[in-house]
Amino acid sequence: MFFSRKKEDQLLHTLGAQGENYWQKLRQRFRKNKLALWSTRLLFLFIFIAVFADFIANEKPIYYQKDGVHHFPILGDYATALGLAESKKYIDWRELKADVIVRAPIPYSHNSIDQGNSYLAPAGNQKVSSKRYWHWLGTHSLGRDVAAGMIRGTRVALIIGILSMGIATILGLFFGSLAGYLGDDRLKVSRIRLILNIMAFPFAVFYAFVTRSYLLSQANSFYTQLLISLLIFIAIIFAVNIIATALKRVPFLGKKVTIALDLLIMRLIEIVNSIPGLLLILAFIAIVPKPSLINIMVFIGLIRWTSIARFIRAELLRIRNLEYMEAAQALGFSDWRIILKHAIPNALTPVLITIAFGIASAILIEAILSFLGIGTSADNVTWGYLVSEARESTTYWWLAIIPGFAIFITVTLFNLIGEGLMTALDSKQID
Amino acid sequence: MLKYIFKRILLFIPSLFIISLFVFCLSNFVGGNIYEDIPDDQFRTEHIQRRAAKYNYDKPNFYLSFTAAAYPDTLYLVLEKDKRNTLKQLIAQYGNWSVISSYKQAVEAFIFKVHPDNIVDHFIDSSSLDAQIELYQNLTQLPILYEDEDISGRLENIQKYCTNYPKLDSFVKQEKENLLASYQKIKTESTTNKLYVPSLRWNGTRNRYHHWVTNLLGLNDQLGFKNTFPFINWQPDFGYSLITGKSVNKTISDALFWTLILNISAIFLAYIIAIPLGIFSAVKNKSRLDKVLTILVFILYSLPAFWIAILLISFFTTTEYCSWCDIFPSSTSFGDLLSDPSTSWWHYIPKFILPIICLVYPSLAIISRQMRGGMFEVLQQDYIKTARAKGLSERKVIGKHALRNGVFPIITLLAGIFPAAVAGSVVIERIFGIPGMGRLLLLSIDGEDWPIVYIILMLASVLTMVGILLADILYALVDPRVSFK
Repeated sequence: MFFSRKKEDQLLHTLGAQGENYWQKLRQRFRKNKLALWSTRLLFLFIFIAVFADFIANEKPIYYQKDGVHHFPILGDYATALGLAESKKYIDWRELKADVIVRAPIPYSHNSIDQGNSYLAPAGNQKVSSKRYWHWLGTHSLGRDVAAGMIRGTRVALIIGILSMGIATILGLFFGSLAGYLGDDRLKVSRIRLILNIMAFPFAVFYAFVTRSYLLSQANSFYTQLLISLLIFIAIIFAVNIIATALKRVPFLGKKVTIALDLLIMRLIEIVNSIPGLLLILAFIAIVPKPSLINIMVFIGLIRWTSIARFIRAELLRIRNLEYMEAAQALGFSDWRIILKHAIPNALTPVLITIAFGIASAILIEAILSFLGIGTSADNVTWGYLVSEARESTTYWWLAIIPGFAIFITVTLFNLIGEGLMTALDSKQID
Repeated sequence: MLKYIFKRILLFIPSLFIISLFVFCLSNFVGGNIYEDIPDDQFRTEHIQRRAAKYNYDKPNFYLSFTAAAYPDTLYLVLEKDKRNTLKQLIAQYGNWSVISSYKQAVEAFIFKVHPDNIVDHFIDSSSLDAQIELYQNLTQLPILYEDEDISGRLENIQKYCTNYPKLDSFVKQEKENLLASYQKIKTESTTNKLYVPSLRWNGTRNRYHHWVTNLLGLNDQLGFKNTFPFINWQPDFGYSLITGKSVNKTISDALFWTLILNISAIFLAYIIAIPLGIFSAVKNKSRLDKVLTILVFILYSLPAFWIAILLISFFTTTEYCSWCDIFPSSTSFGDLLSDPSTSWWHYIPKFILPIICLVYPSLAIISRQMRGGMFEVLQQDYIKTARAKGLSERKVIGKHALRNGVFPIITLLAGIFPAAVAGSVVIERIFGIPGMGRLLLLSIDGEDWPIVYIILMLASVLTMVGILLADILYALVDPRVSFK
């Protein structure tokens, strides 16, 4: 949030003096910030809920004993999902009679339907057999339990936030280190290599994909065919580069030209930044036929990598002329080793800040999308979806308050962690 | 300086080109058969051609096409997407377009002959009639089949009907033989080697992308809309809606009107409130009030606007929860106001109170924080100390000397104003039912009205780019310290 261009530049400058105990100091600074520290602790609680969501809210019992046989239905589900066990026949878990039953704290799944209890307030006139089955946070459409939906929503929100920023980080690291390390002047290739590569690219696409379009359209062998296509593509590019190496000896063809990679990547970043994020995601989602959370995750990742790339780039531009880089080069370390072992760790803190803020905004975007009902299906209960149910009537106050509050808390947590990291990094405080 | 501005503008043009290409490509991926609703009668082909011409689907996609020599350069003339894809798949298998095209003609001729409208019933008894209809149904599948197995199965069926009903057979004998022979020929005379010969073709300016862009720029004034945007001499053609079939110029300019009113007043208010807040926090730096303000705007920033909107609607537009709670007017009847001719502009004001609140409060944090940062830095400068030392009043020091330099960071925020004015209120418009761009976008996505979706995406992107460009140039103009590298 508080990332103006100016602040970004400032942060990048503060990265200069980093001693051995830099991380230690940073940690100390961060721990002094009580708000950020408690946010981190609360976040662990959220992660706990997300990881064990199936055991907290589930219509299936965690354990039951029947006729002397022990059953673990939830664990059994995991085994089925992993392909270790066959799926069991349908059992009505509510009516299950057994000698010993241990049920989950919330005896409902996010999609368990409880007919006749639709849209009931926490203190409303709920028709349940015992207090054990009371809907403590009320119900929404089809009598589904809000508490179970909230637990499930925690998992969805954290997965979306963390994985989408994971994708963004990988992209940002890749482009940022390319732009920063090679800059505008370091990528020198011979004329012939440049020309041949540019010319070979359309041909490689042609022979790998266009001529094989029929084979690629066969649904049953798609991945095999795709692999073959990629191999053909790589083979053509590889062959061209071998020819280029051979022809490099010719003086005219071998003359080096400099590719302004930094300029190109910065243009790319500018272009990505200039398409409004939410609109782009909406337009992306429009072209995928089947709504799924994975798509949303990928799309958020595809638009959020730019600020990470900018940090990595700026840090690399700064340090690539420093003495220790030259020393590393003189010792014969490869470029990639230098980037991975020396440059990226230095740029990590601002990247961490960006990731923290980025997770907050990714969670918000997912909430907005499911609130709008775009890109996810209605049986996928998330926080945003629950808020949208409050629009059905102004009397559903519990649906208006509870899920929105969860979104607010999560977003604030990540923003506070980001803020805490930022103040910890501030040069005026780190000696 | 001039050189910097010139360079900046020069870099702007290729980016714009790439964005337009990107959005155009995205718009090409959206599926759906736009000819679905055309009835299957003798005028179908004509209707399809007319509709294709309207949406520019009767043109190649781009200036250049790079495919195998086996593909004809006129394939785009097969307008229906599924039929075109079938032909493409046939070519990808056999590579002999001339034979495939005669097969296609044979299929069409056969379909025409047994079309239920063309029944010549005087020599066919009723059982043959049923057979003919069965035959017809089998035939209509052929233009969308490309797997050898499927086609052969259909052809066998057709032969079976013909042998069972000799009268029918004699009626369609020629067409049937043509069809069978041409399909045999496809398989025997395949020229798959042509698939490995690349060919680059120049399609000229008569292509979809060219039309799309020039229409957007207002270079093709084919509609004669002079008054879409009354104050600027720009007559773009945004294309036609897939649903209503009407030009979307009016739809978009209407939506733009409401969005601009909503967002410009929100942005204006946000600045009016946030700038003094920022200055105040900077001057009273580290005081208790500053800390409270910082936390307050932080919380405001983290509150999701759509949630606050829902809360406000739930609790403050009805008397559900307490008797004085309906302090804001209910937000449901915007459409009634629009359709009622007796409404004046002030009737709309109450409808805008809640949406504007929801748009203003999140941006308070960003603007006031920027302002605070800028001011704080300036107040540390030596010349401020000098100004104070020579005895100027605090009011003058801050209002006259510090403010002028402290306001620079706000300029960088300018980049965000343009896109926000067009597409910054998607969710809020949806919740409050304001017929602006955001609501139009969501409605168009729901209704699969793609031309509108991609025009809005394009407009918003271009405006963001213009915003960034303006901010950079302005920043360079007002702050001579900015390096022009």
